[in-house]
Amino acid sequence: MSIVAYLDPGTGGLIASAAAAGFAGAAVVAKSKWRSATGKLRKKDDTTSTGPDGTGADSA
Amino acid sequence: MDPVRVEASSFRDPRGTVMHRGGRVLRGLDPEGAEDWRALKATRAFSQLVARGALVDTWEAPADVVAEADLGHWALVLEHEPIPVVSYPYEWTFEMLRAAAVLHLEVLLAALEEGMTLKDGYAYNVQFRGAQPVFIDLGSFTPVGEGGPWVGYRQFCQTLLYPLLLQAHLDIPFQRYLLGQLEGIPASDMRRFLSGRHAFQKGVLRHVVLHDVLSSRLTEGAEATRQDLADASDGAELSRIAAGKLLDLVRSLKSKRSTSGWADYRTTCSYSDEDTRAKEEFVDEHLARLSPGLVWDLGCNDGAFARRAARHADQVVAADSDDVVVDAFFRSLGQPGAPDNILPLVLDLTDPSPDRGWRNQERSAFLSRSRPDLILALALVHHLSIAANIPLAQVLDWFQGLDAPLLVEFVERHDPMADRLLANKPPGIHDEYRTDVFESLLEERFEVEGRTELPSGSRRLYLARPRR
Repeated sequence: MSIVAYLDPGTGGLIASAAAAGFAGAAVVAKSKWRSATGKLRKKDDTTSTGPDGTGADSA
Repeated sequence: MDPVRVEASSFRDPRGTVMHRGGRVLRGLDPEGAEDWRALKATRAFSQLVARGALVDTWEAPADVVAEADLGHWALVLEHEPIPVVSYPYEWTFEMLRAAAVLHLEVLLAALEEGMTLKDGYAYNVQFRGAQPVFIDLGSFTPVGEGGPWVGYRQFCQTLLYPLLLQAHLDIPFQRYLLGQLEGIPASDMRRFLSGRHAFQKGVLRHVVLHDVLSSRLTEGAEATRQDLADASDGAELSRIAAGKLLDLVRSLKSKRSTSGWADYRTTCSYSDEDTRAKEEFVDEHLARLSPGLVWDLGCNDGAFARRAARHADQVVAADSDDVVVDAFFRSLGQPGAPDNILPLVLDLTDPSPDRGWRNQERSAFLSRSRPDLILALALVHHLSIAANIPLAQVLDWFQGLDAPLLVEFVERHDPMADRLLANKPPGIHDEYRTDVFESLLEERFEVEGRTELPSGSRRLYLARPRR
């Protein structure tokens, strides 16, 4: 269960909330974006290496 | 048997509901809400915040209270210490709202120190006991979980930070903006208010401009982003740093509004020392005799008579439409030795706070929220009747409808203060504003138990009980 509970601050609101912490927040936003981007690349690599039907081990 | 009344504003968080029964304030919790409470109760922060009056005192309701109220279907029922008189942020002064914002952040920081956080950042989480802010929303505490940024940030900005910035940077009283929107002022509106050179004032770029840019461009649901940010951050460190920075900002804000039409009233009014003494004697005599529970001091100005009332009453609500004088009064109540039973409020009696919110029941109208045991209306009637053009009969009808003893002052038309108000009015428009007319209208509606004329001869005081 998420602590967000009954409020949805929206993606922009959450990033703004991180930015309210100044440089520390900006660093976390950058890190999460980097992880998200590299995670998608890794996933793409995994998917393309599983064969012509695109069925990877994770999604089997 | 007293019925259980569900608090009309307690419906947004499904973890619990606040209820009233026979003067008790109860909070039913579902199993998750009960877990959150047990986690909070185990912290040092809880007992420390309660001990210093920052958090409303709360305990698990005795079994007989739960059974009598037929609340056994809740996983747990809590009982809260009642708040003497409820008030809302749109009735507070700048310093009251600032004190509420500071308290909210201090409570958040204390919770974060011990692995808890707050689910929201709502100005309505705070009430005032006298002039002391107190955090009342126990249901807002929850374990910090995976961490990441504070989800209450947007609400904190809209209902606490932005109204403060509006007044600190633009000299605009915030009360009407909060009254108009219970969810507070949106970042997009604030950005328009604070464009141009104002964009470089304290807190604006980060909390208004950046907030609006991000919120308007990234509008999808937040859960995936929250998870990403929580994964990339060190527990609740982001929330702690943001709350610390917000606290520094809020503490540094000052209202630009320092003068108003009534700020110097005490030094410029027409009372002689003898008048003042005679008025004080009359008021003190009746306060001591009536020993009222709740006094409404309407048109309280600097609160001199509210302070006298506080010696004899359980609670005093001191209201005035001038936010600058009420703010000065609020600050004076923070001095050592000041009475702790006076709640100062900004209230325009010709347009008092109405019922607001969902079903018009979430936030109640000022006039129906509490019942006074005594009304002080000192140097007020000439403002309602002459300045606001409310007929004397309607002013007295209203007082009579409040169904409480009335201590009222009538300022005769030749008094310098009434004369000043009449000077700009067309001749003849206020011909009925005369002592004989006032007395006749008063006696039709009230039994007059006491009356006196002040030595200068231009002001009279009455203690009257409404006829039923």
